[in-house]
Amino acid sequence: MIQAQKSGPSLKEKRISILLLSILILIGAIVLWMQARYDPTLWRLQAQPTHTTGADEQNNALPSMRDDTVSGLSSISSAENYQPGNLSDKINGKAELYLAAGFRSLQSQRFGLTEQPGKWLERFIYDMGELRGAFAVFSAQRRSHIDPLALTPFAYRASNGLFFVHGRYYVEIIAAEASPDLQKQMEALAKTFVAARRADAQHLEELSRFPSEGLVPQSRALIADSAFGLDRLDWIFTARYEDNQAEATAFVSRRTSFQDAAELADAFHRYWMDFGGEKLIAPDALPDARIATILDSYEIVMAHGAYLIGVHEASTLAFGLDLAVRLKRMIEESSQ
Amino acid sequence: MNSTSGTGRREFLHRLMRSALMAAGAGALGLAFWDRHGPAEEPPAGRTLVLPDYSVSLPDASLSVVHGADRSKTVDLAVKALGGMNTFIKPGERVLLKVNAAFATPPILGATTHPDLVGAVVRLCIDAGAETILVADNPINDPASCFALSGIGPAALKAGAEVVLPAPRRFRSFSLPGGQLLRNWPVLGDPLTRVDKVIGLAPVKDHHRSGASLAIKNWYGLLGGRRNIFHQKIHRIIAELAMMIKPTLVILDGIQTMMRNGPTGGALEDLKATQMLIAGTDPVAVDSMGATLLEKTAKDLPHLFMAQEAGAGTVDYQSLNPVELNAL
Repeated sequence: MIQAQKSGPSLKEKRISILLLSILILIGAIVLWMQARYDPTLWRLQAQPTHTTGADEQNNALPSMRDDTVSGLSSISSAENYQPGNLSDKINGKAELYLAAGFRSLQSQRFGLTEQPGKWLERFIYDMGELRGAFAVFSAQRRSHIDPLALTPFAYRASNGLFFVHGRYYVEIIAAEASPDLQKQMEALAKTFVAARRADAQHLEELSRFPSEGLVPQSRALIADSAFGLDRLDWIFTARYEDNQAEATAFVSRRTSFQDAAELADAFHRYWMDFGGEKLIAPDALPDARIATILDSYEIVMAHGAYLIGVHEASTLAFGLDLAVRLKRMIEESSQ
Repeated sequence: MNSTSGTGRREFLHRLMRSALMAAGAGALGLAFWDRHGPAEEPPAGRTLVLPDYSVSLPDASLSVVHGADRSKTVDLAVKALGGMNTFIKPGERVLLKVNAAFATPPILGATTHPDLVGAVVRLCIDAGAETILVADNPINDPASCFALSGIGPAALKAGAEVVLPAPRRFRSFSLPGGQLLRNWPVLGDPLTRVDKVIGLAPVKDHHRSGASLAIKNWYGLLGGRRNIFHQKIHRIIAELAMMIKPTLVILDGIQTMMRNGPTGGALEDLKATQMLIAGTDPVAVDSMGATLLEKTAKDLPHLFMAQEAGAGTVDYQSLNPVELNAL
């Protein structure tokens, strides 16, 4: 009867209560301690799930990253997506280079070595819409003294980075330091990317129009707009040539028609004349060429079929004319 | 037994009811405090920002150049050549170090102010008796990531400075007298109005739009809003920035210069060990000299002549008789 009327907690209940309260106090203390050490500059570096959705990928032509898992690498940031309207939020003043070449979207993400989290890299996947756009931004930024890679037709390795074109994608993988461990993982990440995606195209036919003799290795490039300072000169393929005595830049661009190419050749020639150039007589080997000399260099331009071809800043007239003749011959042979 | 059983049941029901009420009360309290939308961005304060002149007049040299590879040594020598940090900062003054933390990239890429330089200048300011040292920027990328990954945040905190992240409430509307572009534009005014002196710390970089990113371009990181619209008039905006900030001192880090693919770079091959640090009170002169590291002259950078015409300094840096020292 006495035991049945007991209303206070038992010893066992008291002990459990004290234990639970102690745990709550401990949790509170940990929260306060962590909050006191809160560093807003670091918390965002924690790994977060990607915000990319399937709908995003379809709408924005963003590549899927699902198949890009590499052993030994872990994501340390969420994927960031950029469109033409906000590309400068990621790469600031360099955005115009990409926008002029047909940029569609950028997806970037940081990865760290699983075993050494302090070592990290960032991958940038630029969707340039088509191969020529990807090659344009690739070639415009190509570093000197680089190590070409067999990964794709356009790929190279730098001290701390890996840069390549795969179809319409231009990809940069940039490490926070030059280290063999990171280099190995960069190559693994690149190979996984290439293996997971089919390239729509890997060949740019204009590149094969440049003569091989005297061609400076790794110098072929594509200028998407305002080549040589003239607004109308867009999508111009260029290549550097040298011999012991002279140097010049050859250029080729396939236009919509012969009329289009001829009109552009005239505009280019006028451009030089407007800036103080002096007109020179075309030789028999190049009867249609417009030739000017300006600031001790020589400019040669002509239309051949639908191609606009020419030589820019030749240091000697003889070298420029010889290169122009060889370039024209390559175009003729390709159309036969 | 029935009576005992009834008391126990009543007691149990009372306890159960009290517990349920407490749980419901706690839940209701939590619900009342729950902010479904999180903190809202605060619009720039209505009052217009007025910026003081932070500059000091020096009795002797106003431009120094030090050749070297160690940022701590070179900046120490460069500031000493101008009379020492005491010439610029008096005991008890508050100082803002405007760094370039634009990108969430590692220091080795040279796209941001080097953390060694930040740490060294913070220490010089402390030695001069500065009461507070703020380190600020409004980066292009996520600010927290930029300060962390560039190494600037940890270096500043370790040396004893305070890092100011660009929260929306820190911006004020600013109009440059006579300005064409800077009219009612949000500027990171909070740190600027909390200090007595402003020192700019910038790396030497190529820039796809402006040709170069140097000490004056570094003030671009004080702008808020959709500032990328200024890329269409990049030289004009840089010239207006030169008119907006009259700094105490600018320090241009050309120990490594980003020769191409700027302003982000990306490969070590973009960098050249130019081994030069320039310090001065005339940002136009400092930038004109810094341009030479990019194998350019002021003629290649129209904004420098525009800034000169606006009275922000001189492109003829040689006329300032720069003091040249060697720390190699």
